[in-house]
Amino acid sequence: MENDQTYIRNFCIIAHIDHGKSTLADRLLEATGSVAHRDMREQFLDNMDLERERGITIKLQATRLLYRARDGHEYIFNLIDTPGHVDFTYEVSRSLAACEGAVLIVDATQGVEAQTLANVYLALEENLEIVPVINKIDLASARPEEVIHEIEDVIGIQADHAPRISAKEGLNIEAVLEEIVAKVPAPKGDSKGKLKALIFDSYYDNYKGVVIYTRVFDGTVRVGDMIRLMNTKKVYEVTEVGVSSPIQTPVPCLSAGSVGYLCASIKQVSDARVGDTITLDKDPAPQALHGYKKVQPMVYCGIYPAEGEKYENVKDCLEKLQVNDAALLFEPESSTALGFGFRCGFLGLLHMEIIVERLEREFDLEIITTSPSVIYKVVMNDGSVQMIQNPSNLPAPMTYTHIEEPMVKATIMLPKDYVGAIMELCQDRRGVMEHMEYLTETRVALHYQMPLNEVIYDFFDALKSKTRGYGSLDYEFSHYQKSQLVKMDILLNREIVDALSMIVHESKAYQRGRFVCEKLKEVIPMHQFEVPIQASIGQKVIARETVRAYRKDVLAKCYGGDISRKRKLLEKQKEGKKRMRQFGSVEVPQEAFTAVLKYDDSK
Amino acid sequence: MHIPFCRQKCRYCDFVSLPAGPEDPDRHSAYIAALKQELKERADRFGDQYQVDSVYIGGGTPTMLDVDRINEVVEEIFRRFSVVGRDRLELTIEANPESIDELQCRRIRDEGFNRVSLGVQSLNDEMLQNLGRVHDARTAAESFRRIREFVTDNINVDLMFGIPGQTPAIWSETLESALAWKPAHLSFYSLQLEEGTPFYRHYKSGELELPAWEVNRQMYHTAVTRLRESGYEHYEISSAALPGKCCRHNLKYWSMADYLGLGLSAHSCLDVVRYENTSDLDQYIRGEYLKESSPGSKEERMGDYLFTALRQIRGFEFADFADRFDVDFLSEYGASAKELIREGLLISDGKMLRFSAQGLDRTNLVLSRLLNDEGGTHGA
Repeated sequence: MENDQTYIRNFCIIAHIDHGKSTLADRLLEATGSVAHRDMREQFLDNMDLERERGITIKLQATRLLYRARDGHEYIFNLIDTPGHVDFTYEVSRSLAACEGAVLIVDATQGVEAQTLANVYLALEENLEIVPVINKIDLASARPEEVIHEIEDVIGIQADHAPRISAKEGLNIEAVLEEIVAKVPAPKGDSKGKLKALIFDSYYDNYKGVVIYTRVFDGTVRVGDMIRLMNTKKVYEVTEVGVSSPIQTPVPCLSAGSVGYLCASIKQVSDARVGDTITLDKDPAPQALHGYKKVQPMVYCGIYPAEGEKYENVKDCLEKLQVNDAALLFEPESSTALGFGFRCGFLGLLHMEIIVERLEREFDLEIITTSPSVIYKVVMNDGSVQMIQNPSNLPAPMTYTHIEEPMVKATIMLPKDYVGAIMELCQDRRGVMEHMEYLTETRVALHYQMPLNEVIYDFFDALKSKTRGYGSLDYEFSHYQKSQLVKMDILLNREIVDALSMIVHESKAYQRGRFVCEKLKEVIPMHQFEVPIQASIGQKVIARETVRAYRKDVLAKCYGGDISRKRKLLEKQKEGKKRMRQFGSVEVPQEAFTAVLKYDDSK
Repeated sequence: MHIPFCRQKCRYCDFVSLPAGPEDPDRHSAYIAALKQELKERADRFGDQYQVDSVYIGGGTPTMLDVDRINEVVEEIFRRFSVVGRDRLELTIEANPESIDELQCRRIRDEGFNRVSLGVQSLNDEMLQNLGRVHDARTAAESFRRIREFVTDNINVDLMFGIPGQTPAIWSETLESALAWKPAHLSFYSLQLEEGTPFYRHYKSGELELPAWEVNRQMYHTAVTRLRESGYEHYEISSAALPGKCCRHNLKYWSMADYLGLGLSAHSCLDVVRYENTSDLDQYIRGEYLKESSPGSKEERMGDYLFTALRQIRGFEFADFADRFDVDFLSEYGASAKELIREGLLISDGKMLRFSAQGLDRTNLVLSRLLNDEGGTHGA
């Protein structure tokens, strides 16, 4: 092995979901003999079940491959995997910063998508060399020439030499490896300089504590070194350094240009935040690497134990997840309707869904989640500002002058046939179009300013549904904007259910109010008495539905021995009963809380 | 024994039944084979502890099946269990008016069936249509006469009130027509909306209307009065019989006797253990018939007892309760019982407890308060 930086190539793969990133990663591992066939799960790098199911990568991983190139030299390839979703832009940008080049996979049947473009821009910001690769050429509907032109037109890079491959069939993989050797620059750090290493991922291990994935830019780090994390200013002693190939293998040191892992008895991933710079405590670098950001949740929701679930269990599980997810924030809160629970902050809607799903699946918790909310800036009469992320905490209308809401720049890429439908959708979600561009004859990019609260509601589902899955979305925070927002309450049997309160734009209140009331009417069973469902703004009722009364005062004909079932009914032990919540005298099934959030195709 | 097949599912029904035409003989055969298998396994385990004195074939629509198949299973019962003499055995089959012709009647009689329960429901064609029943009033009358002529005069007629569109006059008409037949037994019960049925959905969405609650109860009490005037004994919430014609089979349920339920989703209670069969037909046919069994706690058994015993109009005696459970009823349920008595919903003479006429209109409420001890001393 040649340790000279000349023979190191640090790169990542960027692609849209389903364009074949993980499959190509597997092929590269295979082609370089890095993983024994029997050890190989279908997609080695995606190792959480949830990721495999959704076909997306959530956590980053770094793998070292050895490749003997046609020039006769053996190269060290450090493949840094990136998550592929808008919620994780910051994490993506940090893993890109660890590389000199990026392999850009484009699906030969689908072309460039919004996320691809967003990630390419991130990569260009980090001055990465882009190595385009056209995948899925084995498919009958592949149109590689067209897609190459698209890449050249839209991204503005040369793509005529891009390898045309099929990662699935293992076709032309070597061409990709040679392109990486030829095009990705070698690192140019100073291994004698002061230590500067970038944290681009970390996870918690029960035995080692936090395992940091790092790219060393300058200097060298060894076991026994006292290191300092320049942004959190914490100091630790290094207990292990190593490389993943992809099994973790300890090495004596990591020096400039290398990618590897590092352990230092760190207790929480939040102490080794992605983007932070590692330096030596006794001989620190004068400046940290650029680009570090604190966690900035964009979306909040309440997570409450369902009937029969313990608050403590929910707390334990959130803590366990937090150990491995620095972007997950939570604090205790209470709701009149749901009791004690937590207010949780997420990077975005997908991040929220992943956490909720992990709580339910991995930890087998029964939880209720409330409507997601963004952070509103409430400007009070005295000029002070309150940041509100729980609708229930919105101050009384007389006490503030106005509310501001977060706006995002949204980029939507889609086939031109759907432009009309999506412009209508965006307008309905209070979007303001900035411009529209034809990427090719058939593909269009729409650029919008949109309120984040409209994006997190069900925008993505609606976009997917209205474009038959071909539309893609990318968004980033833009600014706060004054807006005519009101708090809408939901009343069941004339009592406010605080967990269902939401902040909506005045112009949308009637529509949302009607929708929520209709949904609740569908899911709430009939009671002995009428159950009025109302949506109100302040004292004013803006929508109303009623669940009819049905008096079930007498016993049905009791059939053959079916006594215990009937008795259980009377003892209120009916199956599924625990999934009901009692609000005053009204029983509400837990699905009610999610039903009001779901995108409804019919509307 | 449950035969879970019907020509079509009624719009109010939430029992386990599957629409399967007579053209589906394979499924019928497979089901009968599975029934016989269950019967054999149950007999191996419990056969020597019991003597059978009542067999009830219910559904679904048992008469949907070829009578030979029913008879096959009945034969199997005789083969595997000790059964009382034919003269003492109550052998009942449920039939729907549309599914019983003369030939079937004769074969049922030949097999020894001595009681038939006929699912008439209404003698008004519009009501029958509203319910989604497949027969009409004339068919019902004809089938009743046919059964009486060719099988037995020990017939129960099922009637339903509180049907969408039903007025007290329509109900009275149905009731009088049925009384004119002088059936040995009459069951009269209110339509109930069960979650998951088309009726429930349609009522909830406002597409379906039911007679007002007060009208529903008026229909019930009209039936009670008219049955008594006609010489029937109102012996259970929704059952009345001519003297000596009470349904022995149902009385077993009300009196906590052991019973064995066979077939899809059947329930059993044997030696204080309750068994529930699967309601998945394929699973049942594979021979995995048991879903769960539990030896009920004493509290549960006491609850079951009250729940069932109070269905009898005469109620139950405190002494009987004490004999069974070694627990004094009043010290266990006294507080809630007394409150219910004070409110006029239950009646007691100090030795027994029964529903008042007013209580019969609120049976669910009364039982749930009694069992759940709202305001009582009995711990859950």
